[in-house]
Amino acid sequence: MTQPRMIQIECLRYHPETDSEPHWQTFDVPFTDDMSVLQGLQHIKDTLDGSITFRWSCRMAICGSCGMMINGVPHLSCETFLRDFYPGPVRVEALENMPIQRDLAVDQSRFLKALQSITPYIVATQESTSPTPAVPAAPALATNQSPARMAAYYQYSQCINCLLCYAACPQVGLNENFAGPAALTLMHRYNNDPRDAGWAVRSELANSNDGVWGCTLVGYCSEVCPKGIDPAHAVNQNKIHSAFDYTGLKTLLEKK
Amino acid sequence: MSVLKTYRRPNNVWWWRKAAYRSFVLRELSAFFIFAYALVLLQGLYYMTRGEKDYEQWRIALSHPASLTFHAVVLIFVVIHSVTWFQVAPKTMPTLRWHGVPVPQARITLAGLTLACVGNVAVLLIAAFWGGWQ
Repeated sequence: MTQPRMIQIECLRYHPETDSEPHWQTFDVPFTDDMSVLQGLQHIKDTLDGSITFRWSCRMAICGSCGMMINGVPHLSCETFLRDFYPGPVRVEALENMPIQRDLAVDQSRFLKALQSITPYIVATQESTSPTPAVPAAPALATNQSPARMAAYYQYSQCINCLLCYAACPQVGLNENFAGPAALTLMHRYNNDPRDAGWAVRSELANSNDGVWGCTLVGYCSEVCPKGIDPAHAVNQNKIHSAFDYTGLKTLLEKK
Repeated sequence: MSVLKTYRRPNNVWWWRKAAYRSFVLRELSAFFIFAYALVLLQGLYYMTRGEKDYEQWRIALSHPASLTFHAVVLIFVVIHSVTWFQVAPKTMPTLRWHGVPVPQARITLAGLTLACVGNVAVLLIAAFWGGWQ
């Protein structure tokens, strides 16, 4: 068995009840080649400082909980390995562009609000017969999906809401009302679904400066996405929808 | 419900902190140099309408060291703009498919840059052979 090596993990700490601003704290952590940064943090919490706070759940890049800045780059800490940073140090801090709640945990309320605002579900193509207006009725007839139709939106449905793209996007940091890459990518997922007829309810946000036009096409969101989604492409496809909507071409070209 | 106390980190010089941001800023900034060069070409057209003598004087002015330096700087920014523009071009267009398989974005970028290079070389060769470039 490989002997553990030592590496320094520098962690940005912030306690909302005692600190006026964050500060760096260094920990010496023994690690083996199969240990992730998340496991390094768990070692700190279990043996060195139980007060360190970070989110995690699945440990296999599915839940999207453990995103953080690792040496200045947004990563999922569960799939980022300490061996790649040896001899260190490894600097970990909360995701950029979002307020720090405590240590490595950020306040996600901005994203959750944006997610709600894009109507993140299929809006039926038929008139709603649901007794509750807020809950649209399912389509009266099932719409079969061919592989080609599904390919048009599948990658955009793979978002795990990890917010790495929010940490990567400078516009998220500059405009606090900008809906952000993940929410707009999910908007594209539904707009691109042939069963959906929800553009009318999404267009107000999409067409606004805080919607797709808030994006300046830096493209870093697509580089950091751990699921290989291309948010920059999704957002810019909706700029085409939005431009067609503005000029009236969308209604003319709409086949649904 | 209690108000959550959070800390917002300052966002100074964000535009130069990461390679992706620098690429974006250079892409946008280089557009100004291309605009400046477009003005130089418009100036040439203007002098052309005023007659051969004025046009020749404008051409002589172009060979001044200051003008040559300006053109060298513009050339650097045109190359930067072309590369960074073609890098993001695939993100602004619908997904291209070849026999049902999406074409890799890097290939679209490479094709665009290759076409741009071939087009520029073709224009230079035409100018050289037809005598417009003396």
